[in-house]
Amino acid sequence: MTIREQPRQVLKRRASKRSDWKVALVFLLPLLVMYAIYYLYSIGFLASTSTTKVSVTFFNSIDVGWRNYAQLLTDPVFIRSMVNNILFACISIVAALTVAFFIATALATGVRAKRFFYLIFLLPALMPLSLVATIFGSMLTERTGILNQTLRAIGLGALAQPWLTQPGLAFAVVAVIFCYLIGLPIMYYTADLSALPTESLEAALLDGAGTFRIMRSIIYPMMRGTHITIILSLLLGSFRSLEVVLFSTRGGPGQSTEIVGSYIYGFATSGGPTIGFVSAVSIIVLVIALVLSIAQMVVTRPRKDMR
Amino acid sequence: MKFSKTTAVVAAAVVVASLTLAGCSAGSTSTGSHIAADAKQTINVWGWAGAPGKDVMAGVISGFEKANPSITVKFTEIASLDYKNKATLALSSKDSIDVVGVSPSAWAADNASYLLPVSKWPNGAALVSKYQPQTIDQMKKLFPDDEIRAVPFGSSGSVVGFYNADLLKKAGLSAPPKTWADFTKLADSLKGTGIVPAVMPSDSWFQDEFLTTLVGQTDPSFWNNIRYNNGSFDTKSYIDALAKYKSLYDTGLFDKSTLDLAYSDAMALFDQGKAAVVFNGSWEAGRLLASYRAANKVQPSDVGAMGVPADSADQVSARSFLDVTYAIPVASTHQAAAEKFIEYTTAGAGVDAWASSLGFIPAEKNWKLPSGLLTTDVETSGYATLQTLIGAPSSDRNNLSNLSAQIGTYILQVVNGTMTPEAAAKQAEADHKSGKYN
Repeated sequence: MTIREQPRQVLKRRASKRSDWKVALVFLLPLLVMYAIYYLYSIGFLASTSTTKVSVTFFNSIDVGWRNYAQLLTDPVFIRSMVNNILFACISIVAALTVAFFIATALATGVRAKRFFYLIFLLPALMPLSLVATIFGSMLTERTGILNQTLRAIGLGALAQPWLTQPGLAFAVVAVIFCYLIGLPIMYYTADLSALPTESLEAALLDGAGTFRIMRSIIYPMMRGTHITIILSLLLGSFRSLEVVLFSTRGGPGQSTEIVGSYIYGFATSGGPTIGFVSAVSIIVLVIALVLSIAQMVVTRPRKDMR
Repeated sequence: MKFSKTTAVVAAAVVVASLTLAGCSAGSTSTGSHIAADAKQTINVWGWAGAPGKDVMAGVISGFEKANPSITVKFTEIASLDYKNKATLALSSKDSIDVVGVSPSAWAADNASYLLPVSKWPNGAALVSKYQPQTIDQMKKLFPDDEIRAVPFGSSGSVVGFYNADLLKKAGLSAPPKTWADFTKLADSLKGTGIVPAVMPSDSWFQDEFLTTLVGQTDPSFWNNIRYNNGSFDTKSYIDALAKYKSLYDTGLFDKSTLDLAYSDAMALFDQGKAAVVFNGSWEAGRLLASYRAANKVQPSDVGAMGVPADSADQVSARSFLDVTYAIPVASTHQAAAEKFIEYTTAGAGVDAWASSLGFIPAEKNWKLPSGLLTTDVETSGYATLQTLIGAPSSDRNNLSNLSAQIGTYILQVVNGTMTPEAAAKQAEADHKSGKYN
């Protein structure tokens, strides 16, 4: 390429890029319009409702200014719900990054009856959450639950516990249900493992690295993208895990296992003029989810030198 | 196929005319062109589960349709938890509902504008005179301007107890316990048998019901003061009642292992003969009927009713109020037929059909339970006890449901020892004053 030819080609490339951008815009425009109507209208509607006192009919609303937000941010139950939400999410993330990773890697090594094990681990994630939580809840009632009855029947009655009425135990129960759903993280890891370049693993094997060393020092760091996807999906998903709490502990005892979803549910189904308050909660949750999503974009953005 | 310009214009005109007529027709529905009671028509009746429920209402409806062959009744039963929101939406959208069950709570006032004042019903004034005056007085408290927009169906009381007469006999009690000292005898006799002295739903709204009943024993004005005079939860009587309730569990009269029982589980334990007493509302009084016990495999051979024991027998009381009321939406075009149905159901021949299931005490003046329904002395005296408790309540059971569900969580925390009675009373009052729960 001569020096004189260079500017012409640059111009040509720029023009082509511009035309690509226009084509992309034509295809994206209907979707953008739909998004604008669907999301922006909804968010705008929620925001305007959040400053009112109104029932589900949205008629005869009373403007209350920022009162809903003020009540919300000083409500100890809401703050506890937020904290619980994040704690449950953190516990399920730890389980996913350790147990789910280990299971996925172990199954990827070609153990016997691999499909059977996949089924075992995936099944809870494929079942309706409300069903899983209901089963857990009924198994754990102190007097009639199957767990305590079994413990008593085999002479271990001393281990029978008030699983759902002691705050600490009830919290642990909900945390276990959150962790029980590690099927999806296993699926993410399995999908990523199949695309992993094998050269590094072969090199490690040749260097005499053991299984756990390979898992810890080679595979785990290579799956950084999957870890981040799992962390964010579990964190954001925890805000939508209403069924887990509602059907197991009902937020109790004494709201010690309440999460944002169950907090909203209580007000939304009250039948009174509480929809403005519920909208304020939703806006706050939306802002938090937005912050998390932006964090995800920043964290997962490729470094400048990698572009 | 080709159309001429004229054909297209005519077709367009026909379409526009049809749409206009359809629009007019829909408009006439919502603005209320009324159909005479004797015209052939179908009326839509909405109620929530258990008030008194589809099965019970089937008998009432079939009797009504026989008596009024030109009117067909379509009954829609909605889960009680969803009812308030669904009914509010349907009323505000002017859905074709002709009779709507009105929850006698803050919901009634919130939806008053969608309901036709009874004074504007075709025979409203005459109908009102058929109910006990007390129920009409209660009805007035539900609506902001004393103008009643619904008529009473029946009343209920809470909290009351249903007891297993066989177990009481074994404990040497000839009558149901009226004091905690009597109740202690019952609890002592059951030690080591695996049978618990008492169960109740642990649902937070019911915990609030129980606590409010306990407060009513020593401070009868407590709830009405809260409800009608903007009174406070943070009172000595409320704190004392919280401490008393906690002590019932701490001393073993009530079993802490029952604190996670859902509504149906608590009832099931009693029905299986594993609890001597179940505390609930009078709407569970069907257990007094031998026919109910046989159909539902209820183990106790005889069941009676009692109030919640108190420190002294003369303090035993319950709160009571209207439980179900019926209204006609402003938008209904079948108001005359709707009123006929309401009259038949609440103050006419239909009353016996639902009242015989004992779910509610009818609001109709001079109504008497059909003879032969209750067969034993325990059943008969139990029903009389319910009538007495409901007829002379400590206060109105005119609940603030959402606030009640919230306060119930503090009560459970007090029982578990994670909150003091004083802190619970303060928090309950803060929630009450915040206005966000109702």
